[in-house]
Amino acid sequence: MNFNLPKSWNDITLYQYLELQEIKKITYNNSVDETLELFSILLNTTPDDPIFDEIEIEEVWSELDKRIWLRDNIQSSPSKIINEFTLKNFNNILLGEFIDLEHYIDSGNVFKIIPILYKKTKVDDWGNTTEEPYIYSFDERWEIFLDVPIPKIIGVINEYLDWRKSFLSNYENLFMKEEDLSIDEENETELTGRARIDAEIETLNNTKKSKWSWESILLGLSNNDVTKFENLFGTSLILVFNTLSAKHVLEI
Amino acid sequence: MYKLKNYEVRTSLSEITIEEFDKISVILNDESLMSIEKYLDVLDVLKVPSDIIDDLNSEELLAIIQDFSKYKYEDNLTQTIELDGSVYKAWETEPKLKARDMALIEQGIKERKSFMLNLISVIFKKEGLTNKEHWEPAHIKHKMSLFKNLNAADYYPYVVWVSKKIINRIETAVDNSEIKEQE
Repeated sequence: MNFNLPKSWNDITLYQYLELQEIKKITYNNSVDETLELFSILLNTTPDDPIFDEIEIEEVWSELDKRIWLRDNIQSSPSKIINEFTLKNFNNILLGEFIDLEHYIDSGNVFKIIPILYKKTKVDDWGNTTEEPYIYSFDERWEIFLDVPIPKIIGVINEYLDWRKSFLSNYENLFMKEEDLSIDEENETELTGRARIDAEIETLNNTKKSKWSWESILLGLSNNDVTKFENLFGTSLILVFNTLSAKHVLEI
Repeated sequence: MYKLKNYEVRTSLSEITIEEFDKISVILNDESLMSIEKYLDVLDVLKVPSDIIDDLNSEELLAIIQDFSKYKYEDNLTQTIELDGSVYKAWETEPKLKARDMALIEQGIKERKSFMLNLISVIFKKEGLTNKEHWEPAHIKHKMSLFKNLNAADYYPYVVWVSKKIINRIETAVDNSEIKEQE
């Protein structure tokens, strides 16, 4: 029986990768069912597909042994361009985008930041590259990225989390206490891949304090005028935080 | 068969049922029991009257144990079981252990079901049923009640066959883990 299973991480899409993460959380009655579930994900089918009815156990074990790389960390460098989308310069992230990025990271859906970080772009009459406004359908964009090979994506996640850590660290006086920044650096450097992503998120979420919130920031910057929120969402994140920082230092 | 006074103790696999085989296996693998205790419990499973067991001396017990060890099985995988007008088939052209069968066998081991009885009930499939029906837990349970009184010797080769596959798999998995660790 020829299964035509993937041969490397390059053959695994983001959708399949997320499904593989899910089955790690499940306790199976037996190892064979777990393996058939894994194969069903890799073949984009379901575990009760009749294609598994006649397969011999030795063939299942043999195919599984050929996929020992599934236990490896994914080697990846961020792809600047995926399909027609270009990776955004993180320093140009808008406040509205950052709020959404934080929402997905906080809720454990870190891969959902991808449709926010990649944009369609075009060159205008003067040779400047401009990016599409942040008004596209998130769900439609997410569907597109689910079909992208995971190595193209996972590196971007790591790169963004590094940038985010550095960014939040720069403005820590706005929303963190000194003692909250006790990130376990030693442990962190030992981790790689998804484990590192999870550790970074956990560390930052644990340290972020509730003394600030987006609502209070927005109200403060808009002088309590909610009609100005839309304009603020489209404002550069760095500009917003620089302003907040100045207000904080000057105590105004 | 071992003759003890006027009683014949069943000591051959060909003299016991699948159900008795499974009970004996559990006793012999029970690490909490002393060796002599195990064999006395085995004699109980084999329905040796208690007065015979009570009168056993150590030489007689040793002779019975030695008789148990004499059994040589034939490496022949029976293809069909005919029972109550129904035919149950284990394989078509050659013996093959399907992955879904192995899943149920492994699950049975985890749930401490009777090993040989579960294994035989999973592997032998009633003719005329669909795959879905074959693997229905209720149907397998029904087959277990049908097959429990079959002769253990006829199906013991399946225990050896499946056990070898499991042991080989464990060894390969250990080797793979060691290779991975070395990387």
